[in-house]
Amino acid sequence: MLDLVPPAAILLVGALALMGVRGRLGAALMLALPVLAFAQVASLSPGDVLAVDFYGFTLEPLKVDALSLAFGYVFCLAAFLGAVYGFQIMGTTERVAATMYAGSALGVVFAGDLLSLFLFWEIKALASVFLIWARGTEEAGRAGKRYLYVQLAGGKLLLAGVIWHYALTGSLAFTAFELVPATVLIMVGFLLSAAVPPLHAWLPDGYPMATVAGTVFLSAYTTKASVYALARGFPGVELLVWLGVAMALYGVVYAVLENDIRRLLGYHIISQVGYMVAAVGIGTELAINGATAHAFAHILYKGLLLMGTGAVLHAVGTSRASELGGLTKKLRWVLILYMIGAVSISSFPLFSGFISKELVVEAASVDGRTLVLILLKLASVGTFLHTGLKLPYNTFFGPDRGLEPRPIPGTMYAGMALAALANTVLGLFPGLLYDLLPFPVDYNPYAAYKVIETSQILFFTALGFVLMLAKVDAQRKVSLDTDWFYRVAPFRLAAWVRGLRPEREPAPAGGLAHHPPLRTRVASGVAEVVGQLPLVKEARASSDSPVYPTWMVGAVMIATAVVVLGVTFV
Amino acid sequence: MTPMTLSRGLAIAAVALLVGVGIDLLVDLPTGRAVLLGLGGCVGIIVVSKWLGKVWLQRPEDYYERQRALRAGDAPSAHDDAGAGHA
Repeated sequence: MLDLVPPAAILLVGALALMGVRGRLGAALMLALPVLAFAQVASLSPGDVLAVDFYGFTLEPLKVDALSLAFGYVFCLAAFLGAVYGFQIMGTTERVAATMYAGSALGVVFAGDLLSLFLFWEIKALASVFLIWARGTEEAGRAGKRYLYVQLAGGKLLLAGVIWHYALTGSLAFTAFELVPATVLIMVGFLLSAAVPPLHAWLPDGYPMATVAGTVFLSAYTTKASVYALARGFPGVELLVWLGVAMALYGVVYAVLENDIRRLLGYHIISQVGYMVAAVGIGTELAINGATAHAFAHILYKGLLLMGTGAVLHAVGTSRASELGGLTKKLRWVLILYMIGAVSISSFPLFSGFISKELVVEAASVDGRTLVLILLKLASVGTFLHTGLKLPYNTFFGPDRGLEPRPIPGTMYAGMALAALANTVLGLFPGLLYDLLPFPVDYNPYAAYKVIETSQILFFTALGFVLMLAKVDAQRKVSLDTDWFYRVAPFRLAAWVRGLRPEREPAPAGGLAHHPPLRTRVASGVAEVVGQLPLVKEARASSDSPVYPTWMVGAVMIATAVVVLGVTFV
Repeated sequence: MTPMTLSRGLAIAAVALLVGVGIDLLVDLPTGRAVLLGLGGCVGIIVVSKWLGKVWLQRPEDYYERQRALRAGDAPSAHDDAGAGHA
């Protein structure tokens, strides 16, 4: 049975060991673990299954097929690159959290049943938040709590769906599902972790708050594990096509407005994951190949981009574009390596993004979806505009603000260089990636007309950028996103309700208190129900709470009640 | 790089546009699609996003801090006599 050790176990046990190992030794161990896990993934072959009995359930913590293998390889690769990058800058907490996070994500992609999947899913959420908290700032503390609340709520949706599905079918097998209310809950759980709007705000809120190396890890796993889960559970669901297209463009719009360069890249994770979600929705073999290939390449180029911006943050202490500029000479190698990531994500021919994104676009084209094709190409224009032009322009080329960067450790450069190499090698030798995909690939990304059209689009995007240069200056602003609904709205609502509650009104001097208007009576009725939950008072007392926990608890309770009601009627 | 003058920009754009459409015709691609997507898309994305930001989405950098300060300032009054302000 030794040959069927789940790769996840290597990283999870390794993470526990990392708790007791500090300094260079810890960093070296963290580097070795993904290598071991990679070797273990390489030793697996499609069809391998490890089944264990667990309180009468048969769990399959390891079930291998081509789809899980592709994700398994890149997850190990990402953990290795992250460990190199973070060799000198990560503390013990970060190492443990990052390794456990990578391990649980590996667990997700090799889970053969829904219970194992859920288990790894929750470990993933819990471990990842420590990468945000490890930043140590008050802001990161609050952002981390918000991130955790949302992730755990998503996990509960998943669990509710799994239990419901089990009650209906008696099966825990993780296969492609029919859409019924139970599986819709599972899908919503996946969509939340894939950062599909409007369930996405945890990503741009949390990721930029994480540590320099932490963000690199975060960018690799949560959303891509969800893409994997969607590809396995919900291929060909038409809704996903349009959600994917919408998120591809959503990220682009917010990226125009964003001042924080790491949050800008966060919005571009949403945009790029949109391609994958759309491809899963198209659901053909070519499209699933496209989603997998794009997830693979995305992990490599987005990791590199966040390594680059992380290096800037590490060196000058800020990631606000409005405070950056004049760094071309001072951070020359960071710029060069960042630009390799930028041309990769922008799908320049000869780099990784080109061979993967074109596969998704081709899938839309073959499926006869012209509008999807055009909108995805438009999102691609936005990607180059932001990550390839605006971000480097504002960060490196803009006016010199007299920043004096502190030295960047050699291992950070090494991590970036290796990631840049991986992106270039994939671009030059697409066969390396195509051979890993779940279905046979008969596609040549380097057909002349494709290269010419892509080059033309990129050229004209650059031209547009130059013409609009005066309009792309970084503004010291934040953009409202759906996190407003849990960061601000509940407090506003609570204040409104509180203000109208009769017992809080002044002594009835006039007729108002005796004959309160309808609005007051309705509001006080709502307040009676909501306001009496003990948690409300607690949350009200600590006005600094990151979200209004009551509402989260209340929402989960109501959702549970609805589910239970539903089950009763079904 | 500094923002160029409008006339020079338009001149460059016009020449590039002709070359782009020429290439389309030469290699039998949908005529003008790349130009429209690249140039039109880029300008469109910037203009539409900036407009959305201006009329709806953007707030001052310290928006969330201010919201928190506001709540902190509100909290005592809620425990004292919150209704007074509404009387």
